[in-house]
Amino acid sequence: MGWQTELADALVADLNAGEFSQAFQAARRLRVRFDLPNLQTLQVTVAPAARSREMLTRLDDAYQAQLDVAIQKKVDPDDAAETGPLLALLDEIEDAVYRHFFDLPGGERWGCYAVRTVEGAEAGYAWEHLDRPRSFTGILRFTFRR
Amino acid sequence: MRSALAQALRSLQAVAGVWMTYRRGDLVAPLRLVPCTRPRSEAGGPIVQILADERDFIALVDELALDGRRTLPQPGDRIEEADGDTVHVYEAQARDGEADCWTWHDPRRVAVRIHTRLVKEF
Repeated sequence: MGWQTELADALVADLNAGEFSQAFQAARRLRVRFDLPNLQTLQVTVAPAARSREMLTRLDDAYQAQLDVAIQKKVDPDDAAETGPLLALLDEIEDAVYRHFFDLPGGERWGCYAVRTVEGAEAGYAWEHLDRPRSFTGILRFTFRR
Repeated sequence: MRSALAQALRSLQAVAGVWMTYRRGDLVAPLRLVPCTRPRSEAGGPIVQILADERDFIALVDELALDGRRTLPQPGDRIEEADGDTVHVYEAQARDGEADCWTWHDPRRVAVRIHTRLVKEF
């Protein structure tokens, strides 16, 4: 398994062990692709994004990895009672990951030092998906270093 | 012309129409609709893709009524189609690149074509 995948699995395990206002079972996927009926259930997905490795010294490398966390559910986009809890969950996951450290089985320690939004979801969610297919898609991009 | 068109559409409805449940919130009405299949769609976007079975339903305007009042489709309206032990739930949604979840089926405005995506099965 690759080092970025190991980090993604550690994040998945951490999210599944955490306490959040809504129940979910996070999963790692290389691509986030669902049939609309599957979004009746809250889906939380961790997907690897960019990665880099740079030489620091002759012996040491600096690793950096980005992981996307997608939160998806079919909602009535005009009903704040449905979208509000998902926005709150977005904040909860951000707080649970940002500035936290993750120890991998091999002993490496990764720290999350940045969280950003992505293009098309600058507010943290994809407004286009609220219009069609009338679903909530929240996305956070976390950057980790070790 | 309008009455001839209406008669033709009623014939279509008699041959290909299926009784379904039309729902808007708490309002419910049985409605005989003509289903029309469409290709599956993919809503792209940042990082994620959402696949959906699309289906159009033809409804006669005179029959599309909720709570005793004629109405036109609204986003979020639901059409429930029983298929054996399974109920397929379709939700009125605009197609990609279009503003409304329905279009007139004919130039005389006898029927509407409701654009939907499958959102649930139980």
